[in-house]
Amino acid sequence: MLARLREAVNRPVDVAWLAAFRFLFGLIMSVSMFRFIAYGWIDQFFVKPTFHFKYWGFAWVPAPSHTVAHALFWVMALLAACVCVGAWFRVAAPLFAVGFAYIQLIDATTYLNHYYLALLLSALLALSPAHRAWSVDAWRRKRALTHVPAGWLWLLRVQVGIVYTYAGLAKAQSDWLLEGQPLRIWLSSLTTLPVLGPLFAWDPAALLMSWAGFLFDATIVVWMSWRRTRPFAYAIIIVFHILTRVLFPIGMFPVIMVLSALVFFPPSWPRELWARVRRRASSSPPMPAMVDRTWSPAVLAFASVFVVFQLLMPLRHWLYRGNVLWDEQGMRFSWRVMVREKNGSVTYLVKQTSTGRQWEVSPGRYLNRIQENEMAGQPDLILQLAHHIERDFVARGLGPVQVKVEALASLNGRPAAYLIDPNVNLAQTHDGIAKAAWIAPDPHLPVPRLRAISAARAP
Amino acid sequence: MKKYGLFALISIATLVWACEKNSPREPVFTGTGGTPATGMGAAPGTGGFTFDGGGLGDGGFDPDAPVTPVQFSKAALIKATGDCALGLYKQFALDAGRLQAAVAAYAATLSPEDLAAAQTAWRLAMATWQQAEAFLFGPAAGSAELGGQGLRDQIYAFPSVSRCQVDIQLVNQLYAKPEFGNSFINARGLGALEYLLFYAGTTNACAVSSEINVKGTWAAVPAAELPRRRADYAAAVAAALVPRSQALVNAWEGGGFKNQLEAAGKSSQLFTTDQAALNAIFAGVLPVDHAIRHEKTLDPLGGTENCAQTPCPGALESPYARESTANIVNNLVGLKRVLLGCDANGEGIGFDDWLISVGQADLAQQLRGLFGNAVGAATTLAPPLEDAITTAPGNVVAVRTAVGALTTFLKTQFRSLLNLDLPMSVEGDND
Repeated sequence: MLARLREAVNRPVDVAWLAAFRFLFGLIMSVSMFRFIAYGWIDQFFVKPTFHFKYWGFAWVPAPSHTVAHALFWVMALLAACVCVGAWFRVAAPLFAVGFAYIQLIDATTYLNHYYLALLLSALLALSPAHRAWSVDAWRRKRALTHVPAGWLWLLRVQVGIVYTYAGLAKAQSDWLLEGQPLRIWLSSLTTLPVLGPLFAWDPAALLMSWAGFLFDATIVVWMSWRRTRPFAYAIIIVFHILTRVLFPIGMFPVIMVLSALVFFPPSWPRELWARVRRRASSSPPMPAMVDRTWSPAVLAFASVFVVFQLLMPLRHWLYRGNVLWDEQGMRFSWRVMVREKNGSVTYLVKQTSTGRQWEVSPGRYLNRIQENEMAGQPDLILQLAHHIERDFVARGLGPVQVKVEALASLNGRPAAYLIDPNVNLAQTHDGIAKAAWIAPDPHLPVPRLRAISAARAP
Repeated sequence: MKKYGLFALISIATLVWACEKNSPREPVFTGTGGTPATGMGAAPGTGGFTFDGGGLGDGGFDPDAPVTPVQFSKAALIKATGDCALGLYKQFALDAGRLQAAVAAYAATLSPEDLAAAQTAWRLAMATWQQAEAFLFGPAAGSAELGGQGLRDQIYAFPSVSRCQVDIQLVNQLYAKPEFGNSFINARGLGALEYLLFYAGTTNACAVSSEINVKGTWAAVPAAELPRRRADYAAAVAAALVPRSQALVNAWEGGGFKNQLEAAGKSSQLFTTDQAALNAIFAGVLPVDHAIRHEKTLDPLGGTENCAQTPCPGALESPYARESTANIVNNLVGLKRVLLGCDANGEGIGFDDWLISVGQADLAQQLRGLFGNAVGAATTLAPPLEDAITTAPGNVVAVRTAVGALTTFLKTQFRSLLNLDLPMSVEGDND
């Protein structure tokens, strides 16, 4: 079994797909870094906030100074460009992956599924021999690989397949499939768009599109894996992601997914495409008996652990037995893409234990508007700020204090309900991976039946 | 293949049908909103738009009153809100002109009658502006906002009001110098004017350790000279308000913000969708809502991070004019104009009509009820806030509670259902 697996992952496949993936990924990442620079997001997200939310276990990650932050993004853009053209790849690609991980770890309110995907892809790419063909490095060495072990191809296919499939599974719930929420909310605000707007005013549109989105995410990997359906499936991928980009502010996500889905094509697709462009017959290099740089048992073990981790990580919410969209335990790193519309209102109540003196503290005292908005629906972030407020009061000589919170949230348009038990002293509550008893249970309120604005209705 | 072909055919057919069915690009929906605002006679210089009751008071708002159906569309809501904001700004520009004239007259005579007239003019201008506070979008908003020019702070920078700084400038007579127009905003505008027109004491608001007390420069000003200086200072402040208020009107009209707003989703450079414009409008109501619950009520109650003293009269918004309660009521009236309709009675096209148009009539009624509670609590606050913080703090807490319930609703379910997002917020893929 193991021998057959090793044989399979070391089967030679054309390197063209990997070189093309490297080029496109590096290009997109470089553009992405320049977007941060051009749109002023560096200051907005990483420099100006006086408090940064951290991921569990990564509270030690420091925020950069203004100069470092700006320099970092210029360097990251350069590194991504190096990845793109395959220049000094063995240095540039790992540095880019580490730098990107650092950027993600600065503030948890900037978490996006597609940033997480980009991080995973950049890490896998950094480990791969993606620079061994069609690159500056290959040109400098005057030696290029023609084939790579198939394991790299399968690893990336599994990773991209996990994203789509789990994004589909995350939609297999009543809000999405029975209520058409939150798509109904989002589409109802788009009814004045040209061309498509009137369609969104049609009442069944939200539910139909919810089902279409669910079926797309859950099955697209199957269609992309089958040779006969692949071209049509990829066309649908392009249309789907263009549509999502037009309708929703989801940044680079559509571009990354359209690029990532290319891994499902045969590994020689770039040569064949290039040949079609040049109107010549495709000329793949001869298949070697053995591929250079095969996967060692250690690499195979690493890849296996990686895949198992990626398969299990998004399922961890089952251990918490709650509604993950409400309590958010198991929400991140799980490909729950666009499955909730959640807004909250948070006010902290601080009480000096020695005197009983109380303060009402608005999150805005510590956070910018975007941070506050993101925090209001995420219990672990609300807890983090409670701890920060406690430390702040103690530092100002006002401690020890109790910190409680009035945190109400609305999920997918439901009436607001307590997200956190208002009687719990959060100063004495610690975050962890266990089930959080301090998070109020999902009240299971009914979803309001929203209808889109239509020209057809009369008083 | 057949599956996809069928899907594509259905999609195209649906699209064509939907496009033909709703041929007018802007959907029109009949909700229940209200009758046109009452008392909207055309006043000179207001572009045919004035506010019932001269921009004052609550207009007898009845949250349970039946409302008259109006045609709802997002474009109509955007236009109505823009008209309402501009109407208030124009009204304020008129009020500012009257205020300048009244204060100048007082500065010329220093007579008690002219002082009373100036104080009345300030009250009227302040009442209008407090309603305009609920429209903190566009040129009035900070420069970080879409179309923001920071003009609000040039007129009224609350809570950045420093009575000490006013006293310092009273001593150094900065108000008589050309650079006064660009001096600290916390010693100009309506906040400074209240202190100058309504405070007649001989003590200053600075700490004992401040320079004017340590060096004795305050004490060196003869007490008899203080009314003269205060009147001159007030005249300078009032005079500066006129071009500021006109600048705000100009930014909307000549500057084109009104056009940008009304062209949202069409040719607007600022608002690429009508939803973006509505997001900006919604974001503009939150600051005053926050101010009511914190700076205007919680801080005066005291024991807060801003003021440890309990109660804390120094934190009152307009303690000398004793208008702190009226300010809150007018803030709520302003909020009501945005969210329920521009008429002071909460009628006209508003966000409640939007709720109704998406099938949420109960929530629209809930919104009106929450407004009724908040306005009712503020209007009936007795004694006034200046006294209540000492004698009846529970009544102030009741106002805070009523406004807090409104806030929670706005920031949670209301916002979710109408998909109101923060303008220029981060791109996301997780919600």
